[in-house]
Order: sequence, then structure tokens, then C-alpha cells
Amino acid sequence: MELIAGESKLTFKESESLLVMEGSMRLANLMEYDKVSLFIMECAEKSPSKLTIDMRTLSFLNSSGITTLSMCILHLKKKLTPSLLFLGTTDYAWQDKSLKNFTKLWADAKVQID
Amino acid sequence: MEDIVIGDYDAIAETLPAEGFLQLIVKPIDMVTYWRRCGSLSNFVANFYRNPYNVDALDENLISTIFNELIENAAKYSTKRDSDIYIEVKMYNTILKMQVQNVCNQKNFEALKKSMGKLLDSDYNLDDLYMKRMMEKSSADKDSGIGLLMLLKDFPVKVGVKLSSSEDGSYQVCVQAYYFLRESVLKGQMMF
Repeated sequence: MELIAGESKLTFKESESLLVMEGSMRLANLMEYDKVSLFIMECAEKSPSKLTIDMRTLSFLNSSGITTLSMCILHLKKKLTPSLLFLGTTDYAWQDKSLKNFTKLWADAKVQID
Repeated sequence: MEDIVIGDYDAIAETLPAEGFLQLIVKPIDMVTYWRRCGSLSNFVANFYRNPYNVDALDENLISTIFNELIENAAKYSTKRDSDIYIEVKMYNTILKMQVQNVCNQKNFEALKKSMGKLLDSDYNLDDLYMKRMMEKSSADKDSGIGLLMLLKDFPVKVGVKLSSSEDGSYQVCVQAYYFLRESVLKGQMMF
């Protein structure tokens, strides 16, 4: 299952409950991010206990994107499942700065930065 | 003309000669019509200063991220036609000053004044403010409104804003972000 969003691509590997986000994601506003939000929630529906979101090849994510992901986390927090694991890298400095905020929104949203 | 200055505006005096100086003018209508131009411009600015100023790849990624938030705000909240966005990016040794100036309507002017007042008021805990704003967001909101808050909270920047209004009904916003290169090296040496 794939979604192209601007200069980014999201690929969901259902057998691994793995969502890979790659490219540069800088859409104009929250409305434009609606399709991304819907895609992530669909991936969550198909992931029984844990969804891993691999962002290690996502070079940029703007504040509207951070907000969209945060809203997805808060939505899943209400449902209590699936738990989330975000994979990040120190190669893209924004990830080291911004991803840690996700863990403050929900104890079951973990971030692993290598 | 009334000027309101918030935060670290003009933290480095205009008169101090810069080692690098990039000046650009763009039209808001061009940026919102072809939104990818915001990202392209941000990457250009970051790449422009990569060499020969010892800006490494990590700094380049952060500079592009920071500048992108400034230019996206200016593009979104500008008077779309018959106005310009003025951009200045100056290098001072290990500090990069990014300045973006635009014209907006009274509603956006007042909203920014209120928002920046909170962000740059030391009585507010930025982590708490960030969480509060995230919790309050709903799918009906058009904009995230957390760009500058995110920069101030998590990135090695100082931010200042000058808001100018005049009797003829024009409203001007000038945002400055001072980015400290290689923050690990510079710890304890900041000039502010």
C-alpha cells in the first residue's frame, strides 16, 4: 500500500506492520495532510498490536507534518492500540530535535534514534 | 507608525558588517501557488552557506528546517497580491541571521502579536505550551500554528519579531531567527 504526498512517499508493509516514510514532506497546511493522516490511521487499523513508522529516510518534515503525526498519536492513545515505534536517524538533524516530542504525547509512542 | 519589538530582535546590530550576505525578494502569490518553492528556497539558503563557512550537513538540515518555517509563515499570512516578501540571510562568524519580512492584514497581525508575546514571555514553559496546543488541535484547524514554538523549544535559535503598523492601515511583520552553528562546540560561548 503506497501514498505519494508532495515530494514524499509512504509505503506500508502489512506483513511487518511497518510504515516507511521517505523523501521531503512539507505540505502546505493541515488540510493537505488529511490524506497522510487517513493513510496512517489505515495502517494502524491493519497493525494488530504495534505499528513501526520508519522515518530514517525522511529528510524534512514541516510543523504541519509534526502536528499531523501528533494528532494521529493522540487519536491512537484514545483507542489504546496499536502502540507506536518511530525509527529516526541522527543523519537528519531535525529528527533528533523534533521526534522526542512524540513520546510526551503518549507513553506507548516510543522513539528510537540511531 | 507604531513599532512593537518582541524577543531578540536586532540582537546583532544592523551596522555590524556580515561575512556573508544573501538578499532575496519573492512574491507571496508565487509561493502559495507553487508551494514546493518554499522548500526549494529553504534548501537553497541552507546550501548557499554550506561552504565555505564550515557548515556541515547536520547544520544544513537544521538551517533549511528553520528557514522553511519562516518562509512558510510569510507565504501563508502575507497579503497575497501587490506585496513582497523580503529575505535577508547574514553570516556572522558562527551565527546565521535569517530575516523574513512581509505585509499582512490586521487579523493576522494581531494574531501574531498575541502568539509571539506568549512564546517569548519567560513566564511560559514552552514544553507545556507545546503540549497544550497539540491537545487543543482538531481536524477542523487549517494551520498547525506551532512552527515558531517548535523552533524556540527544540532548536538552537533565538527569535525576535518587529511588528509595525501605520495609520494608512498597512501591517508589516519582520521575523528574525539567529541560528548558532555547531551548538555542541559553542555551548557556553553564546553571545546572548
